[in-house]
Order: sequence, then C-alpha cells, then structure tokens
Amino acid sequence: MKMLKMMKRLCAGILSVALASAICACGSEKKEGGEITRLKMILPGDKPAIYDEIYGKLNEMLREDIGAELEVEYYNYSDLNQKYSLLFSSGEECDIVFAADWLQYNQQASKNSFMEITDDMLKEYAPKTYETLTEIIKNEASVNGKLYMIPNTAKEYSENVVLIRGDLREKYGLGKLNDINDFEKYLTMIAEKESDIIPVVDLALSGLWTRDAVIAIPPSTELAYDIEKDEFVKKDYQDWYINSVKKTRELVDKGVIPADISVNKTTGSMFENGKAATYVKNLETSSSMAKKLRASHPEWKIEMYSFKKDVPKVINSSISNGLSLNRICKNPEKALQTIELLRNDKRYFDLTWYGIEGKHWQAEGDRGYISLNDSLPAEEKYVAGAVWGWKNESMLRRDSSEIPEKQEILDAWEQVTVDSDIYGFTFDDTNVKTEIATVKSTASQYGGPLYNGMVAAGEIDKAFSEYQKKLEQAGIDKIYDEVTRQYKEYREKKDAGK
Amino acid sequence: MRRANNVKAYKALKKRSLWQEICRYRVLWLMAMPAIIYVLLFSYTPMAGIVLAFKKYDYASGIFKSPWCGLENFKFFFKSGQAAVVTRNTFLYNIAFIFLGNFLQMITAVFLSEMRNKYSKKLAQTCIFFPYFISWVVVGAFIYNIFSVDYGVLNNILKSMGAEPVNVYTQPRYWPFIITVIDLWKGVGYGSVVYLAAISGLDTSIYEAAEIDGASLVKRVYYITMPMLRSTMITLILLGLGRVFRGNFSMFYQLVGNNGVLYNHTDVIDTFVFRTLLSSNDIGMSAAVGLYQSVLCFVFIMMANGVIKKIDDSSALF
Amino acid sequence: MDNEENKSMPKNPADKAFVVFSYAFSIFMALLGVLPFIMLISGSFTSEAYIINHGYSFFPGEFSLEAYKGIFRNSAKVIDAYEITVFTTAIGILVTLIFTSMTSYVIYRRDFPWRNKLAYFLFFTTLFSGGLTPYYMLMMKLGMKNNIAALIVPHMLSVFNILIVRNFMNGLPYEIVEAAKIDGANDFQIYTTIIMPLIKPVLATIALFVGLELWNQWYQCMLFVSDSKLFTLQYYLYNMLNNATAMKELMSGANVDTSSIDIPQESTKLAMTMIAAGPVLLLYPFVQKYFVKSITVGSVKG
Repeated sequence: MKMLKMMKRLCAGILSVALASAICACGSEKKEGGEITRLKMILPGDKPAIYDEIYGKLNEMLREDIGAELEVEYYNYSDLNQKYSLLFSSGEECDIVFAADWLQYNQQASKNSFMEITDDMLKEYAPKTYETLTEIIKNEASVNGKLYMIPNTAKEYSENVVLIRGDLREKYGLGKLNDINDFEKYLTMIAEKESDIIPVVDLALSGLWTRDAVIAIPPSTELAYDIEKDEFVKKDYQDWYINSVKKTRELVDKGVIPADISVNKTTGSMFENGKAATYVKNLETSSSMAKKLRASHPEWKIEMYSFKKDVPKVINSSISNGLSLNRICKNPEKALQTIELLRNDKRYFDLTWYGIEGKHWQAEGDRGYISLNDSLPAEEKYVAGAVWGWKNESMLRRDSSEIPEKQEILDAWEQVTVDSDIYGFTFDDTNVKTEIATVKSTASQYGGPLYNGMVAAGEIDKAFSEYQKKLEQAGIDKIYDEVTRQYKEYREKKDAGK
Repeated sequence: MRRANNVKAYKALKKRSLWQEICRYRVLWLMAMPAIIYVLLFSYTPMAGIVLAFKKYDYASGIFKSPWCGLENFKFFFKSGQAAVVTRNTFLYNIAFIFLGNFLQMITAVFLSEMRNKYSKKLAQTCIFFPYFISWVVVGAFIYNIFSVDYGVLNNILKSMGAEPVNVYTQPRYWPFIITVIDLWKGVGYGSVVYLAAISGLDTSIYEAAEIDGASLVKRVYYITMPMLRSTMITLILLGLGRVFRGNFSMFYQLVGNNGVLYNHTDVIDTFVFRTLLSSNDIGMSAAVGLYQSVLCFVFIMMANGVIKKIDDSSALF
Repeated sequence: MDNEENKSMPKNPADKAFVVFSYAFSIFMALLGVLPFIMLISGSFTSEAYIINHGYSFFPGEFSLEAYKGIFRNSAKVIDAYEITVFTTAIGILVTLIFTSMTSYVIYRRDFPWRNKLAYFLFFTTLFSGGLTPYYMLMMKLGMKNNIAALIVPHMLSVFNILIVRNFMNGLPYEIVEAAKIDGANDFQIYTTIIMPLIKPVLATIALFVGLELWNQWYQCMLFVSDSKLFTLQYYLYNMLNNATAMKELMSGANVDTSSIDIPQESTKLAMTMIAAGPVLLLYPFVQKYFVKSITVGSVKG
C-alpha cells in the first residue's frame, strides 16, 4: 500500500518535472484566490515538533489581523551556511529571512541579498517597531547607509562565565573563588589530586587571565577593537594576547589542560558526565546548564563565576540576530506587518517564544513566567528555535526558576558597560577580500596551534615572530590600514553630524 | 560554376552519407539517447556556471549580468603561499590511494576467490566490507581513541612497556602514513568487489586447459588471473586519476580537523578552501578553485589516457 | 537456487600452501574490518557516561539502550525515513541498471564509429562542473523542490559505472556479437538476449554501488527537501549528528542558550551507524553470490 502511494508520488513528481520543463517554469506561480496573502519565512534550526499547533494558531491570528498566512521553512544548522547563500544566489522565492552578523549580514547585504527597508515603509507598516529603532541601532544595522534588517532589541553580552564543582572545591579546603588566582588554585588542585577528572576541557577559558577589553571585529581579520583606547589593533602583536597564549601553555604543562584537547571531540558533554571540572560558556548557556545540574546532581554544588567583572564591556551589536526582507519579496507590506506583530504584540510574542499558555508556560505577572515544558512528553514540548530574530527587550519574560547568580552577574556587568557606537561602524571588505581569506588561512595554520597550547613554552616567542611574518606576507597591514582608514572616515562623519 | 556545383554535390553526398551512417546505427543512437540527453541537461547546462570564477557575483544581477573581475577570484588561493603545498599534498595522497588501493583491492579479491569454502568466503568478504559503513566522524573518534596522549591505546601500550608516550597530534611526519593506511582499510572491501566481479567473468575454460597442462595454482593465478585483471585495473586507475587533484574532504577534515600543526603534511585543496572560505561563502572564489582543480585533472587525465592508448588501446577510457 | 559450489582443495603441496596463505590473508583482512565494528556495536550499547570516562571497548562496560531509545524517540519519523530510503533505492537501482548497461553497450560496440567520442563526451562531465548554484537553479526550475524525483534522478547516471561495465564487456569475446548479427539479431536484441545475461556479475557490482550510494544519500535531500516526510534515513541521522555541533560553531559569539540543544552523544553516533548499515549488512551476503559465481562464457557461446 505504502509503496503504491510512493509510486504515485514519484509519478506525480516526474509529471511535474515534465510539465515544468515544457512550460519553461515561467509565471507558473499562481496567485492565491481570496484575500489571504501567503508569506514564507526562513529560520535557522530544526522545525519544532509542535510546529503545526503553534504556527496554526499564529496563522489564525494573522488571517484575522492582516489577512496573511505565514509558513516557516527551517534550514538546519549543519547546512545553514550553504543553503543560506544558495537561497540568495539562486533567487529562490521567500519573503522574510533570518539575518545576523554570524550569518555575514554585512557581506550578504552588500551582495544585494535583501530589500532595503525605508523609514517610510516602517512608519506605515511597522510603526511600533520604528519607534524602538534608535539611531544607534539603525546605524548598526545599516550597510552603506541603507537599512536591510530589523534587528533585535535586547541587551546582550557575549562574554563567557565559568561553572565549577562546589563539592570539589570544598573537598580540597578552598574558599569561594574570589578571583582568577583562586580559580587557578582550584584547577591545579584537581590536576594533582583527581586522576579521573580533567580540570579544563574548554580552551575558551585561556582568555580569562588577561585584561583584554577588546572586541574581535571585523570578523576573520585577526584585528580587534580596543574599547578603552578606541582604536583597532592587530591582535597577534599584542602583549595581552601573547601572554594569554603563554598562560594556556603553562596550564598545559601543569596538566590542567590536556595536551591534545583541541582534537578531542567529546568535550561538550564531559562536565555533565562528571568527567570535567569546569564549564566555560556564555551566560545564557551556562545558566541553564547550572540550573539543569543543580536539579540532577545537587551533590555537585555547581557554582557560577565571572572573573572579569571589572573589565569594560560593550553591549552586543543589535545585528547579532534579526529579520530581513528577501530582495525579491513580493509582499513587503504584509511582511513588515507580520514582523511588527511578532515583535510588538504580546499574543504573538508569547506564542512564538514560550508556546501555548497553560500548556507550555504560565504567566507570573507581566514580565515573568514558569516553564511547564519539563512536565510534558518529548513530542509535546515546545522548543522555540531561532525566534531571536524578533527578540524584543520590552516583551521578554523572565524565567522565574532561573538561577539567581545570573542576574547578579548581569548587574555587575552593567556597571562596567561602556557606551559605544563601535558597532555602527560597518567594515566594507571589498578592497581586501583576498587578504582576509589569506590571513584567515594563515591564522588557522600558525595561530591555531598557539591558541590551542600546542607550542612548547620555550618556542612561543619564536613561533609568534614566524606567525607575524606570515601574517605580514598575507597582507594583514593592508587590512589594518583599510580598517583604520574606514574607521577614521566613520568617526569624522559622526562628529560632523553632531 | 561547375566546380562549385561539384563541391556542393560532394558536400551533399558526404552529408547524406553521414546521415546514412547515423541511420545505419539508429538503434544504437536511440539506446545512447537517454544518457546523452541526461548529461546535456544535468551536466553541460550548469557548466555555464564556470564563468562565475571570473565574476564578482552580485545576487541582483544573476550569473550572466554580474560584472567581470578578471583573475581576482584566484588571488586568495595563490597569495596564501599554501597553493603549492596543498596541491602537492592532494596529488601525492591521491596517487598513493589510487595505486596502493588498487593493488590491495586486487590481491584481496584474488585471495578471497581462492578460498575453498563458500561460507567462509562470504563471511570474510562481508567482514572486509564493514569499514565502508563506518562514517568518517566515527573513524575520527576511533583514531583519537588510539592516539590520545593520556588515554590512547597506543600510549597505554607504550607506557606499559616503559617507553615514552608520543603525541602524534604534534608530529606531522606520522600522518601521511596514518591517513594512507586508514584510506586503504576503509576502501578495500568496496574496491575489491569490482575485481571479484572481473574474476567471475573470466573464461573458466582457460583455467581448465592450464590445469590439464599441469600448471600449478600459483602459476595459474600469476599467469592467467592477474594479467586478465590488468585492463580492469587500468580502467579503475584511470578513473581514479581523473580526480587526482580533488581531495576527500570528509576524511581529511574528520581525521585532522583544525590542527594547524599538521597542515603542511595533511592539508589538501578541499580542506584548505573550506577553512578559508567558510565564513565568507564567496561563490566566485570557490568556483575559481574548482576550475583550477578541473583544469589540472583534465590535463593530467588526457596525458595518462594518451599514454595508455599508445600501450594498450582497448584499456583507454576514450 | 544457490548453485555456487565449494571449490575442492588442491592435492599438490605448493598449491595447498597457496590456498592456506589465501585463507590467512583473507582472515587477517577480515579481522581488521570486523574488530573496529565490534567495538562500534558494543559502544552503541554502552552508557554515555561510561564511554566518556573509559573510551570504547569490545564489550559494553555498562549496558544501556539509551542511544537507540534516543534515536527512536520519534519512531514514526525513522520509519518514514526507512520507507523513503527503501523506495528510492529500489527504483533507483532498477533505473540505473538499465540506463548504465544500455549506454555501456553502445560505447562497447566496436563497429559504432562514434564510440570513443561518446565516451569522451560522457567522461568530460566528471572533470568540469559549474558548481552548486547553477545546478540548484536548474533543479528548482525543473520543479524538484520537495519532489521525490530529486532523490533518484541525480543518481541515475554515473560515468564511472558506465566505464566499469564497458570494461567488463570488453573482456567478452567479440565474436558473440558478430555471430548474433549474422543470425539477424538487431542491435537491441543483441543487448537484451546476448549481453545482459553475460554481464550479471558486473551488474550486481553496479547495483551494489548504486544501491549504497542511494541508501547513504543525504546531500540531495539536504538541498531539495524541506518536507520531513521525504527525508532519507541518512539525512535524518546526519541532522541529528551535526545540528548541535554546527550551531555551536556558528553561534559561538552570540549570547544564545545552546545548552538545551541535544549534543549528539558518542553512543548515539555509533547507534546511528548500526541503524543505517544494519539492513545493508543483512542483505549483502545475498548479493554476493552474483559476483563470486563464475559465469561460463563458453557455454553461452555454444
């Protein structure tokens, strides 16, 4: 029976191929009858198990409110990069596209992937959104003076925090970890005494020992922006970076970091399985891990620390997640109206972010919620996926079961947060594309081993000077000059505008 | 005037005879038609995309209207200073894989076919096929289990014998050997199937005659089986050489990963390009490297096929 | 049905030694293949914590079915994927065999004046390609999006296979074709009645290759299928395996909670291999008889 059905499907498929080639596929798209406009949106990630339930409900509201229907197509992370660029290069039809700096928003925009979103369009179809887009945000999301994205509006930091095992700390008579030196004591102790536990499996931690108030932008250039000095620097020439490499190697030699850790692919779940003594991830990830482990392994007494509470920080660029219109979007009006509702209408926001009220979550006042997901069977759970595209600070609810340290750390970070418009600076890489590609390959060949602690302590200086020589051959100075020049222009323009 | 008429008539005649020739073979032409249409549609039509290697691709303008940019897209590859190294690596690894691989596959097939009991033959053949099914991700994990400094099987053995542990992940010189052995191991079962099929296609009457003449088994294998497998081997080697400048991305990526220490000995064109263009996803640049590989393969295979054609016309590919 | 015979042991001591060596060599190669596989099976039945702490071993250190339970949590999807895969593989093999053998036969015919040009015309496509973008555009134009044909059509013709079959045909004595022609058979009849029965071993080989390719395919599915009802088995597994890792790499900078994403666990990776390879391994011995059984050309000739 089933075979028969598939055979039918195949025949229909072949028939459609034949038809498509016969009529040359021109204008075969038929407009929907009636008033309903069908919109298609591309999001990264997996389709939620209960997609039909959530988005069915969403469509009921959309039909009523603006006479539209939304269909979401999900691009899995494993092939996201490839499919995302194919989407634009092949001119496939869709209306709303997820966009982000980690999906090369700037480069995509300069290749004409998106439709420009003008102030007039916003005022007419997304007035509430328009109000939330401050000058700074608009600046950040503009490429060559044109806005192509409605970025999320939320305060975020990309800094890592550390989780440790409180039971091990107490076992060796250490007090609460006040600073990085206490942390190092904890690590050395474990390296010496616990033969079955690896102190560190995450190389992201090597940055903790240096006071590096920098942001690694533009991406893949080996340059960094120094927050305090307000200038760009070549990262691999800076003492703080060289010192952090030396520190990593010192920790390798002490047995704190395993020598071949960068090759090990199982590190991700080691902390959860009691094989590793630290977990170094961003605040969101670490907090939920801590919450999870406090429930499943209360005896571990998980503790969370941020050792760089006093180093100046800048809030993430708003383009770290957002929504854009496809260049060939057929219904920009309806698409913008939809985005407006997703972002600014509580019914839409709550539904897409948290699921169905009473089933997946319960409200706690206006700004809080309790998640009920854990009590549901797997196929009923709502895993929202990449809804960050319409993240909006004023709509967000706080999970009331969240661990308390998270807010404490956020408050502390807020104290040292610097006002900066650095993310308004968008680098145009047209003139140095070749150099960036070359620098990137040089960095992975010569910089990678240094970063991973694979170069012997005595040879680090030598390796760095060779690395720097290779970077110069690759054209790092040309990139540096280009970035500095463009940044100067950007500053001048800003100052003139004041 | 007359002369011109003659030429016309001659041309017409020639045309007719060509047409007649084609008609004479119409059944064969009809039989080849599906394949011809298929490659015209699915291979030759998209080949127009090769122009992307010389263009600055702009999504709004599409493939043909995007502006030309000369050799700009090729620059990143040659500027890195790694072009020669990765091209050399790709070539040498493939040569090792193709020649050693075919040799191992052939002798495995010969030995398998000399097994007497059909059940043990089937069992052995199935076992040899197993590695084909193990994905490179899992092979990578196994390799780490063998070579890991602190927990690896190899170092545990070394330590128990009182020897110094080795960290192969910082020693590039071991890797050509490791990678070649792994490739041979993974491909031998799959590759030997063609040779087994070729052996079963051999005319048994020759064996019988040789046996009656008193030729020993070793002699029969050496003087009859092996030479008769020669043309199969040449075909397979030529087919392999047609891809000699294309690296097996998943193998190198899963075995070596992002370990820069090993790159000089392990980096192939495909892994290099993947790493370099990962975040920019530049279609023009990847088309440029693809074209570079194609041209090298083209030149190489034309030469190899030409040489074979001189020596043994029937084994040449075309 | 199975008319394959055990070969008899030779009497001559030198020949005996050769046979013994054949056994030794084959057993050695078989062990190299089977030992890691046993480790893999054992690993797939071992608890995650045990693998993380002790690595792989030949026997499950701590028996657990978690990995399989995890994959089959959504068993309806796995079963759907199996069905699609079986269907596309079966149809694909059938179509490819006809397609390949027919084309090979044309370039095998020595009297066909264009045979080398045709071979070259086909082989050329393996050297040059226009890259993904134009191919993708073409397929979309042909209506291949979410079309089950997208999973079969791209595998229908492999120049590699055509040339292997042609090479096998070259090994046949050409007189059989000429004799048939004199008997008045047309070109197509020669192909169906004379050639086809003789090339069974190589057709079995090609069927195996194409079958494995179709069975293991995920790439076409990744490109053209977004409807999860049409996912192939390997694509389903590929997603489970790579999604989390890829997400973590991509988003290392963004402050997004990635802890809820299931990390593909070691035992799961191994169990996936078993689930994908299992059916093929069970079928493989049955296919084998076609390419280890000798075909006597002489008997057909007569």
